[in-house]
Amino acid sequence: MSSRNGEKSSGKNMILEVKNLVSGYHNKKVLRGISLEMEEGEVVGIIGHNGAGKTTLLKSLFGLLPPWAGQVFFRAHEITGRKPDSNVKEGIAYMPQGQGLFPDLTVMENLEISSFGLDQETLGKRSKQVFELFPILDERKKQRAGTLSGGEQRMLSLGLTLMHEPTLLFLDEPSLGLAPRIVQLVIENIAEINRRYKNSMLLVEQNFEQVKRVAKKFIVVKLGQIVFSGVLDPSMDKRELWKYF
Amino acid sequence: MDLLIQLTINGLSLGSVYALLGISWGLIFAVTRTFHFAHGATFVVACYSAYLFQQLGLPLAAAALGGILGAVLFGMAVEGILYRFLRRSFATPLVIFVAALGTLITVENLIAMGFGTDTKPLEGFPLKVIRIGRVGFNNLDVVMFITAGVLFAALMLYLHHTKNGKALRAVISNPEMAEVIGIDTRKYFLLAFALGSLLVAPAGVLVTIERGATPDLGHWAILYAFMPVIIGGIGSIPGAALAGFIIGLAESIGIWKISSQWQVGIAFVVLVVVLILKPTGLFGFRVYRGKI
Amino acid sequence: MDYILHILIMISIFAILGLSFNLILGYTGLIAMCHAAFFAIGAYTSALLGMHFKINFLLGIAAAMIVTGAVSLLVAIPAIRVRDEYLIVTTLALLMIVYTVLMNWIDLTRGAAGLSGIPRPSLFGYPISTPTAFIPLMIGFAVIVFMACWRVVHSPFGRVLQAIREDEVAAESLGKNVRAFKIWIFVTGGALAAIAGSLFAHYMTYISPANFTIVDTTLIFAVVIIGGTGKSWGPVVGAATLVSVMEVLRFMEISPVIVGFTRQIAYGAILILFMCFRPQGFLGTFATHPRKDGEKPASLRRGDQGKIPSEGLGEKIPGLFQAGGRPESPEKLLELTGVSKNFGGLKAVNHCTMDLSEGEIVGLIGPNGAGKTTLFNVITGFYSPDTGSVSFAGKDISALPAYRITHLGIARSFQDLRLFHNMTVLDNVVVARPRQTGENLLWAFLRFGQVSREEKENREKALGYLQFVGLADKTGELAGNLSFAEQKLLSLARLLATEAQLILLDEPASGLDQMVMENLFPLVKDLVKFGKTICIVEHNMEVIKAMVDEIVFLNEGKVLARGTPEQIMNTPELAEIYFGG
Repeated sequence: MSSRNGEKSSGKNMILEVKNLVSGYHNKKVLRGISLEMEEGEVVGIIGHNGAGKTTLLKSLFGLLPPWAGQVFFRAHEITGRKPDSNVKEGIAYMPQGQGLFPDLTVMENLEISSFGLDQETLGKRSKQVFELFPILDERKKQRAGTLSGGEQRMLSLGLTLMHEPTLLFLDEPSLGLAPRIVQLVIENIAEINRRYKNSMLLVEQNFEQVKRVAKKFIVVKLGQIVFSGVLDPSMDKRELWKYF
Repeated sequence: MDLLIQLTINGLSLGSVYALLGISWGLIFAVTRTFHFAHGATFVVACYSAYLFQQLGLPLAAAALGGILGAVLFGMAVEGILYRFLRRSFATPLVIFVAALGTLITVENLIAMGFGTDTKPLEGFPLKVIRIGRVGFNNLDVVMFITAGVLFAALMLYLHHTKNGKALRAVISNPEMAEVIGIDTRKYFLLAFALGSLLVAPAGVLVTIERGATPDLGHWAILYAFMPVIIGGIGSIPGAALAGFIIGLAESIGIWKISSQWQVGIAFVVLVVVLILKPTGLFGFRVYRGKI
Repeated sequence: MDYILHILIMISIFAILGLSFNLILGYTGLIAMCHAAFFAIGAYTSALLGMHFKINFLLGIAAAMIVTGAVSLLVAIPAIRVRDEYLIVTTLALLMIVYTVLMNWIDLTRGAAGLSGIPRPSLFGYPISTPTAFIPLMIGFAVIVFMACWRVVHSPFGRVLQAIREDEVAAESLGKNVRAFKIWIFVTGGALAAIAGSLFAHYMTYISPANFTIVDTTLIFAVVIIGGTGKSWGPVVGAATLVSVMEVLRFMEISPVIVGFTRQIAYGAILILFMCFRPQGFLGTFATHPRKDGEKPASLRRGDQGKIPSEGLGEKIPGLFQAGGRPESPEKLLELTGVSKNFGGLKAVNHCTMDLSEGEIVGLIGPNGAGKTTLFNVITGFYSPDTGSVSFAGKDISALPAYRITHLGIARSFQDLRLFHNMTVLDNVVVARPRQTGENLLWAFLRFGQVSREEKENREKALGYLQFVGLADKTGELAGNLSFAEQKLLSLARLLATEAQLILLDEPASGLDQMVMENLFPLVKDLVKFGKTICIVEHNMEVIKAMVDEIVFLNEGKVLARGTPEQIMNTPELAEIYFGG
């Protein structure tokens, strides 16, 4: 399938293909030509120093930030710069950094809102699935989301991404700001989601220790470029990571 | 004592109008972050649309509905045509504010040109004075209070129990996240303006029934729209409603101690006091985050 | 002929109103709705004094200025605490209060009936009663006000106003007492509006509250905005335009009743049309379109890749920096003892103790949320510590406001730069210069010679700093039009211009490409030779290794370790913490 820039997707069984993505804010160039490929069902960890462009990358892929140049293909058709609502309908979901929920709405209302366009029955089914994954949310379903604990909020945030049964998820630092024990829990939940639904995930994390448990393949972004792409040995000495940061 | 009750009733009647002004403007502001100065124009459009329909022969009730219709169409037009255009041109908030200010002035004067500046009444309300002991009020006061109460309750029900209402609350609560889950913010901005105009119109109609309409009502209306929102806390609809009643009561009871000419100044004093003591307003705690 | 003179007179009055309001709205960025109130107070004060005490006209103006100045001071003190929406509503409330007072204090103001029979002015015994006689008076005052405003705007005081409009936080961080400036300009604008009020009252000989409503505030807005807020002539052009429109419409109208409305419809419509199609007005540079994310800014469309000129880097004019160099036995410059800062239960900084010695370059690293930026904010006075103390050169600075801390010698850069986009590159740096006599409004007028001298020196120094970072050829360019890399360098030059001894850099390398960074490192390291001490927050290890002597490792608001980059990166426990455990 060709695109306006004339480049075609390579056509392999890639759920996501990115070619030379350039992006930034105002006059600040952050991504300086990112290319990557993801196969169905993969969980890929994106690590790198703060400011390297990890969040910018996810935002540019999902359509929150229109890229300056380059292309993004989802299952071989081009989605470059497409707005989030189209992406959501097609099964791509995004979990933002920080508070990815509506603090003044209840847990149940959060789920309802995120399932816009779905009928009551489907909403009920999907909510049930979220509650199975996160029983604590079931208990708190009438509570305002902003009053949940940090970990519970993250779980809700994760749950919201699942409402449209995504096949591709972009997760931006799910462990940010959480206590270590909770981080572990959240990562386990992510692994569980991947196991259950066999979706593909692009997971931005600073916490290598945790993310290595769910991702085998890693991409390291440094100063807006990919400096490593491949498998990292989970038992590696962490001091080896400094060179990537 | 009777005097106190009397003043309370007057205050509640005044407060009903202020509350409607506050919740309508507050809703628009919380959802769209637009400083909708032209809301005063919406108010006046409601008054004169109702008057016009009555002049065309419609009975009071139908004319009132006509007033509401006129206001809603106007409010939606200001958003759909003017504000949207400005936002697309990357206008700063100040630019939008000035355009809104211009809209208020233009509309008020168009109305003055078309209808004249004399007070225009809305006839046909069966005004009855009610006396309980030495306290006297009329059924219009009661209607105002009930209208404000019913509309407030209806708004809260809408926001909490309908799909679109929850979507509005979502946009207020976290507009960035709203974009992430694919909510069409443009559609909801328009809805907020429609609802806001719908809520303010009855206040205009009732005020016209009570005292008649003049074109410059717009600038008083807009002031009494801002104040409850600032006092009650930006983003809190119940706060704006409560603040509206507080202002009404303060003005009414204040007359007891101060000459009635200064009634209007009281509201401003309340505003300044609240701003100094609690800048985020009585119920505001986070900037722009609504507890609705 | 008389009619033309009348128009000129009205233009003069509205020009004065516009010029004074432009100081507040256009230059300082304060959306104050109460200018018509200042106009009113000036008019009524002068009218009443003239009517009841028959005082000299010029004294009347002076009295009007004083009274209005006092009222605006009273308003400014609380109003200045609030921003944007709150300021709009507060000042609108003031306008309405003044209107209410004018309507209801009948004994004084005769309420809605207004004051009639206001005496015509007489100057040096010469009565002024015909339009011809008024002209020199009106135009004379308009010229005086124009010159005064011109001086304000072109003085160092005016430059700070613009910086405040552009970015208050940055202005404060450069050592400017933002609150004081805002209060000064509010009072000045009010007092100048009072002049217009007096002239209006004595010319019309009749005033009533109806002259001072929100519609009149809208008119003043229109005068300023249509002319263009960024230029001194703007309000004059705006006044001429609007008054002319008003009069043309008067000619065109058949029914006098319709005239009044048509005029106001015209104002409103003009405002709307200008906001839609020419928000910057005829001459001005205000209301610049903020660039949306993703819209390519000018510098990128030009194809700049963020390269910076390599010649000129590091050159300095002799005397640019104080003679320095690393002292033989460096003293402790900055000491933090047990500093904590909580935000609603979250301990961003938790009993943090560290120090910096003269001449050091130290890097601050730590995982997300370790408290690095919060620490910067505490050190520079934007937050005050909940526990513990911060001292600089032996002096406790924990409770000082940010601008005073800058005066003492600490300055910081921001992650998002916070440059003054609508000011030139040169102005961005000059405004950062300390101890400018001209920043005091009175001295800007009274100590002209000294201010000029200092200005010349400061410009030279600023040029020197710009040369040091390689931007000497871009002095006239607007900061907002530079490429990102150039903006980074500008922010460094601006920082250096404060002559601060301790420099805190917040992510200096973010957004730059490899090549640019390699030019930046030696520049920063060089600063130590000039007696600076530097603390850098960074996340990129290449930058840290290349720039710093030592690293302070922060986690959960506490200092965990301190050592050379090699030491820190070889410690397994720290790697565990940084990369999650």
